Amino acid sequence: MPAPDRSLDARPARPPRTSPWMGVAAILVLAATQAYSISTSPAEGDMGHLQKIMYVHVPAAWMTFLAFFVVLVFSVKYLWKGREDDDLVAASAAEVGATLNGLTLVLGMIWGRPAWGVWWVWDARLTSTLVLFLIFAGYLALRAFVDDEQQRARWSAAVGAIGAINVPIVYMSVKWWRTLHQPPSSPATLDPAYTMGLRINAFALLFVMIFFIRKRYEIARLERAAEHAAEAAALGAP
Amino acid sequence: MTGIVDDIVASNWSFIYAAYGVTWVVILGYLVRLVRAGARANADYARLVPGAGGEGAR
Repeated sequence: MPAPDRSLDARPARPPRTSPWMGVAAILVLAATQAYSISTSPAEGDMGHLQKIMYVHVPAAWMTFLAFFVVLVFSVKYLWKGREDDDLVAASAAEVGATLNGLTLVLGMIWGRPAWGVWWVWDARLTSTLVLFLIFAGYLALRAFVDDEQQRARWSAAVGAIGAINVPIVYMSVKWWRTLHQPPSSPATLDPAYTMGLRINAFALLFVMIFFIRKRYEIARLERAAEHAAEAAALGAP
Repeated sequence: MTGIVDDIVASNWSFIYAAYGVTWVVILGYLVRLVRAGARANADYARLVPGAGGEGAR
């Protein structure tokens, strides 16, 4: 791995501000797509209206996968190039991904209780999703406890890249093992009555996720720039 | 079987409300966390970074 560029120019400058209107728009679009889906989707044959939980559970799971894919790409990029910015993007995506991963688990439990009669079963899909969550909770704990910037970035890039390998295992778990969880939901496997609702809710949550990652990255760069300035001041730099 | 389905259909709205409620608590909670972290980071940046308009500019 090349040595990280520690010259003054390589220090993170103030990033372009993410417009708060992007956040407002993302939240409003999500509220609108949920309202549309809840009000227009018919009761499903077996589950009745319980099916409506799909519009939040499935997009949350997809966005978890996508966020951890971003972690994988930028972690590998950091290990290759040693650029601080890549570490910050990976960390931002990991925090958002872990949040969505936790949400996916909780929504799954809320859906599982009335549909299966239990809040939790140790089947392959649920267990692998929990393992994914624990890996990225560990990633965030690692970042909180390691003080040395380069060591923190290197170790978290390694954990992020290895942790993201669990994503295809989570996805394929319902095909590889016999599970209580149903096979993956996608527009191709759904009744057409539910396809539009799933699609628009997935895009709306994608919009929210992009805003969250951008905003978190912007904050991380500001924090890093302030840390560099504090270090420079402590060392008596002009 | 029909009885079981009827029971599920009759009782499942509380779970639907819970699912959407949890979703919004998480999304808005994370948004508030970002706003607070952003305000703190902006203040630190303005105070410490020369030329940013704060103490560091002197």
